[in-house]
Amino acid sequence: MSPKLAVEDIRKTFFKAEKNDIVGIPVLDGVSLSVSQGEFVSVIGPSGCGKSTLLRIIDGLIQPDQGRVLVDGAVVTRPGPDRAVVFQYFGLYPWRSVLRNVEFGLELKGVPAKQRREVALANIARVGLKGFENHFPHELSGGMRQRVGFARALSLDPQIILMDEPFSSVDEQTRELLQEQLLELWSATGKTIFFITHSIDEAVYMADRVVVMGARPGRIVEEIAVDLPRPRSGGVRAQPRFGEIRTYAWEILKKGIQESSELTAVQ
Amino acid sequence: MTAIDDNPLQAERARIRRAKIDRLLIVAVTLVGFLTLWEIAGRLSNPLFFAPVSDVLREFWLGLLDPRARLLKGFLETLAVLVPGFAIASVLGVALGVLMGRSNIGYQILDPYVTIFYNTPRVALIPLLLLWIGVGDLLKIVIVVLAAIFPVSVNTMVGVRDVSAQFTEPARAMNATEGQLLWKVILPATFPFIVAGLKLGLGRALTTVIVAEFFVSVSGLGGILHATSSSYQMAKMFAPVIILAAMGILIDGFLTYQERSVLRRYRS
Repeated sequence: MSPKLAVEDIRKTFFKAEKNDIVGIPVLDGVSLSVSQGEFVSVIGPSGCGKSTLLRIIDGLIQPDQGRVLVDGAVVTRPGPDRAVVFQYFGLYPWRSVLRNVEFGLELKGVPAKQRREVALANIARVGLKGFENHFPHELSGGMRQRVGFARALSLDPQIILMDEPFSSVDEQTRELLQEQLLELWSATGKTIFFITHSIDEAVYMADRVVVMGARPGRIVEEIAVDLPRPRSGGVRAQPRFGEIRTYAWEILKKGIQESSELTAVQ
Repeated sequence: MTAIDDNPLQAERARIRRAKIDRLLIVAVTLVGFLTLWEIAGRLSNPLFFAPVSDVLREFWLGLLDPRARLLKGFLETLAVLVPGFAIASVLGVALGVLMGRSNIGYQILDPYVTIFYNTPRVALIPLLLLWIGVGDLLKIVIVVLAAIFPVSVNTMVGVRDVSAQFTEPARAMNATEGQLLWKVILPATFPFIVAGLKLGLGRALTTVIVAEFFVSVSGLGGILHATSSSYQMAKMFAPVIILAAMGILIDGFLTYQERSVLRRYRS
């Protein structure tokens, strides 16, 4: 079966001004990856390893210097309706109500008002925010705001949902609730999810496969299959297998961080 | 110990109520004091140079009742310049600001001229414009536009440049066109800056319309101001001043209200 999403040898260098000159900073150095239909893939890596850049290249918000991204075999050149992004910073518009935020993507697509309202209301209910349709983002907690972000992504009915550390700005308890909710939504909708996180625990708990990236310039150092049973709930964390995978992922991540700091030290 | 002290909620309510009454009292006492001083000063001074507040209010009232409706006519004449002038300045100012904020080429081309215009007293251009356009309402409207447009455009530009990627990125990820990005993201995000620019522009427009009515062709409230002061009718002179002040306060109040009701959401 051909992959849903294929990332082929992506390279990207950013430029930074420095003393009347510019320096190139390689961010991604040959990243290749494939994700199957309906798969949940987590990506972890040290800060600055280019995880977020990779996500933006997959969405088409940033163009790679080399390599390409394929969705169902078609090359990605710009954001498209088959992909939706959930941002760490939620990405809501403070001047729009919950309902109008969720409708926003459909509004941009030119979906008629009545139809987009129906879709938005259904998805607001699905993420458990029924009754908050007319609230504004500043009236909601961080966890609720991110659920608005889910509802907005789901309203677009994408095939792939790209999530950029979606839970890192909410508190610990809320985070676990959101994780469970996301897993439920995922199994109910069968979407393909590309999930970036800096939490190893979260990566292992959520995913079918954990992709570990090494420090700058970012590249994939290991892919770990997570053979924990589904459906998962908080109890999975108590299983010995969970601990083993978690420890293994940490060993690899640590090695990547140490290598990069040695590199920096030599430089 | 009183009953109120036993109930902290009631004590707090009473405290807030007292503070409110105190505030009103301070305003009232100051106002009465100010009006009394004005009255005394007016009665003591030469009527050619100043008038007591009672005469001012009486003349204002008579002006409102005036069968020839000179005050009303003047007010409408002033509005006929101010409204189109300020409207044109607002629309063009926002458009100019967006152009300079969104496009680097637009910025590089326009910025030097906007800077020069913004820092030139626009009144200095009146003689030149007089030659070009001739005496009339059109000239006055042009002068008002020139006075009000730059604060609006400079504020809008700053606001547009300030729009966070956290607003533009989600829209781009949802495939927004450039037009959608402008109307649905950039402009709403810039709204607080635009309102601040409009308030500044309004102040300038009000000042300038009066100056234009003094110098270009005597009409409107500025014309009445000019006529009454040059014939030393001090009490009458205050009527247009009162109307101008009321206009300024009302429009500014309206903009401030809009600003607040929206800003509440922007803070989070």
